[in-house]
Amino acid sequence: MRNILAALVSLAVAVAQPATPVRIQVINSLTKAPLAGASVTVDSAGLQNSAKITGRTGDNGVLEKNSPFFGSALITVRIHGFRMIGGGMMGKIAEIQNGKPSETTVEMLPLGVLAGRVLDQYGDPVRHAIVSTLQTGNDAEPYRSLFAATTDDLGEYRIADVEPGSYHLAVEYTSRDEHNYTRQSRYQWPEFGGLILFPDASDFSHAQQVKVGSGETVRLADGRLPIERSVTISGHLKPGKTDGAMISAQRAGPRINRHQPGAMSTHIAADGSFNIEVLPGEYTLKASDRSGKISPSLTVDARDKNITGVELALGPGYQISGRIVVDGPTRQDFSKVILNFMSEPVKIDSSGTFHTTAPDSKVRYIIQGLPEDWYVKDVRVLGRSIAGRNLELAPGESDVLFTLSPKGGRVEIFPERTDPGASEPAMCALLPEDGIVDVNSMLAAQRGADLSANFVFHSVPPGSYRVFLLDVSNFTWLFRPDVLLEKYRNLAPLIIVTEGEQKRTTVRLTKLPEE
Amino acid sequence: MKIYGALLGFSVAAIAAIAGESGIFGRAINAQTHEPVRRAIIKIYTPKQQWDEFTDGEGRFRFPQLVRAEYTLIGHRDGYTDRAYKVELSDFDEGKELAIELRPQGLVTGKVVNGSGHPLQRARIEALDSRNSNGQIQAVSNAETNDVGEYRLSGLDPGTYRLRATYREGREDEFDPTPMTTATSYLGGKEKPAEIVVTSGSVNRGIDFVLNDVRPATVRGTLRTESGVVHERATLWIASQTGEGGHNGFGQDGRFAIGDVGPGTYTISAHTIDERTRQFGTTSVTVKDSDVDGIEILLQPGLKLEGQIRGLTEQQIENSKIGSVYFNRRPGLLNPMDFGSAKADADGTFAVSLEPGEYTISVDPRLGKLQSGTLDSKPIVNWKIKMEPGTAGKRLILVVQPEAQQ
Repeated sequence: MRNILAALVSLAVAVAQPATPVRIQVINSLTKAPLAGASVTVDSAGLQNSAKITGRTGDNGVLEKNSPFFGSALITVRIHGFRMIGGGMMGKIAEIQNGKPSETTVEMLPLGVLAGRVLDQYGDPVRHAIVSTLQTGNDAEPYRSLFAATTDDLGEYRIADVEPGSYHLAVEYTSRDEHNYTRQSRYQWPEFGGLILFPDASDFSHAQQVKVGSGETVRLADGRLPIERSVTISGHLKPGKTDGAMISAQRAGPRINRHQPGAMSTHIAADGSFNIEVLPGEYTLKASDRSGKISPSLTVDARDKNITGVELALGPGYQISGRIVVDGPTRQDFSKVILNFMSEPVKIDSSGTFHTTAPDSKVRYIIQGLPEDWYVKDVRVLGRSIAGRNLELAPGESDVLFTLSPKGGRVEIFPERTDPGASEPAMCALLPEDGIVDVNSMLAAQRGADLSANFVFHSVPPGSYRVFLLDVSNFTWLFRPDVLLEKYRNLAPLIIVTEGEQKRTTVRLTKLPEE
Repeated sequence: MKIYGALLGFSVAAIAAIAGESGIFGRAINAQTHEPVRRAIIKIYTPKQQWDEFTDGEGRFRFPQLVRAEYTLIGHRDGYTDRAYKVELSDFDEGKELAIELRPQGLVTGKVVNGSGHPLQRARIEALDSRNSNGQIQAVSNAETNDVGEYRLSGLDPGTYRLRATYREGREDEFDPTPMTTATSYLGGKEKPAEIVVTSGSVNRGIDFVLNDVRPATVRGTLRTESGVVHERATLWIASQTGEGGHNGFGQDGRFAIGDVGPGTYTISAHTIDERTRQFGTTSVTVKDSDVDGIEILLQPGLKLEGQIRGLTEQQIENSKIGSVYFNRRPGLLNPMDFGSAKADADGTFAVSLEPGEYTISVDPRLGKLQSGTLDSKPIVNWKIKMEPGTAGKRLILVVQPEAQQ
């Protein structure tokens, strides 16, 4: 991604006169008090050009330096316990005029601290437990953990730099992580650990949310984390002899673990026997082998004691029998198309036929190497058209049909001319007005290295799109296009692209509100 | 029951007798406070078998099915030093409750601030053990400072330790334009670090650090041989004499650059890529607070070793990936400069160029297991060979038992 940042930089950098003083004042946004020791970067926004001012604010909260450049600049300030406000996601855009002093005030929002203690079932402190905040995420990752801390020998933790708001907290410990903190014991010990939601719940309906305000340190009640030893799940895979088979155990419920994905996997012995050690919980077991055979999932409750005699049988797995066809009379050699289903690239013959094995019933496809202006017009799984790139396969063999069209649209976006020194667009995105909006359905283009003024999109499927033209302070919104569209749809003009259309349009820089 | 180690020979007194119990049972207690140690793991083992039990809320454990015999017993709990006992036959006969006394580990606490007195968050404090057999210092425990700069370094067995604090700021993620700065400080100074004595249950308070972070430097220079510039690609490794700060760099067309180097004195090792014609060189460099340019490393040819793997078919030899035979000068260390590999041809022959030193030989496990070997017709002992300067090319023959036949 750093390359993207480097590539999208397009602000014209001009060498400044020897005396172009720049003064950055950094203050606490609530108290307006100056912040000393803040790390300030004033960037011509160019890694390629790398004209930059860096330094720390003094006791008066000010950094003063002569700028080696003038023009539009991105100011970034970092200091523990605060985050920038009044700018874009990346920083604040400011104008540096050649030979003229410039002064910018950057306001920093004080963040919160969540402090507390973790005790075990006996009331003893739990050392090296990880306490992390949980926020609602997306389908792939329902709960996102952004802020975390580790307990000390007294079980105490302080989660710092927490964005003001309400959170659930996950509290987890596994002895498996002890080697991260101390020298490993000479002996092998059984694994032990636990996972709860604050203060002592095993599910969200019983968990308590905690709230922290800006600049606030909240002392929480003790978290109660029962520490239990691991249990063993053992059994056999049918048929008895296996070739490179593996078994995986995925902890049931929301994936809230921070350092452990809640999944374990191990090899199955040649005679089909397996043995897997897990922390107490409900697990979904699944076996697979090198040929792509997969067992149906089996859920086991492994809480109080070892589970023995589990039997899994390998089934046919998820085979894909596929074809790629062209909509229309054009003939195409498909052997150069790169297609994969979250695994190795599929071998496609020149007529577009392929056969492969999917690692799971739910897979995402990626297709590359299409000729310019071609696009994927339709994807059908077992005769049914799908939206987006996610496929749901039936056990056994599934017919998958890709229909490509050589008639993708070509869209050229011309940024509306702005005043000299004003913020320049760095990246342009077309977000579908309807249907699934994610990084896969989004079309994005960056400014060319030759600083050409327009953004060009090839292979645009017919449809309606919102056009976002973002400057360097805001381009990271493109990592969350769904949220960008939901919040700022009305700030982006709508364009309609028909099949094979060559569209040219002028668009103004998208002015996102300051966050 | 007897205690292993320094206290071997002291019999543990029975605390209480419980009639009618078989196997053994006991209680883990804090050797200093005599309070129960809950959630301790008690392991009992013989050379062939082992059993584990956790102590309950009163520190008690029980192995009711244990057959009357002699065993080793180990008590383990975070915050305590592992302790070993010998279980004797009399421990079964007398039906006594065995007392497992666990000694609490030591603790070091303090604060880390910068030169302006501001607390540093996420500074890392490490307790360093004395050097191991390879001359490297090992961190035995570590902790990070919280948002007010405080740390609690626990898990320290009795002993003498040096303390090191390190701090890194900036470049938090790929979009963070803030320049990276780093700082490292030893308690008492790097030249003559202070030693902290930790005893069982001791608490060393107020061990504070002041760290002044600086921007790490880049070391640049040239690679050459006696006959001129080295055009081949090269790998470089920079590390302090004690192995700290080790990371790699690359050289091409006779030039190299290694970034992210903090202040200190380092050894830079370099070698060319081709395993058969590899050339080696080292130099030392001192980094202060700015980039260092103009470092020259003279590469010299390594010692030639030719050999053959026997016992495998052509197909089996093809199973090896990166290399077929591995040569490790200091096993267990991360320095890639101590590691060499040779890829065998279809007929099993290979050649490699190595620096002088003693190497441990192994083969890619996909090929099978080393069965026997000779170096210049002399049997290899413990899979070790010595490469010494001034000797002519050596010949190594390795006999491998394929995986399927094992």
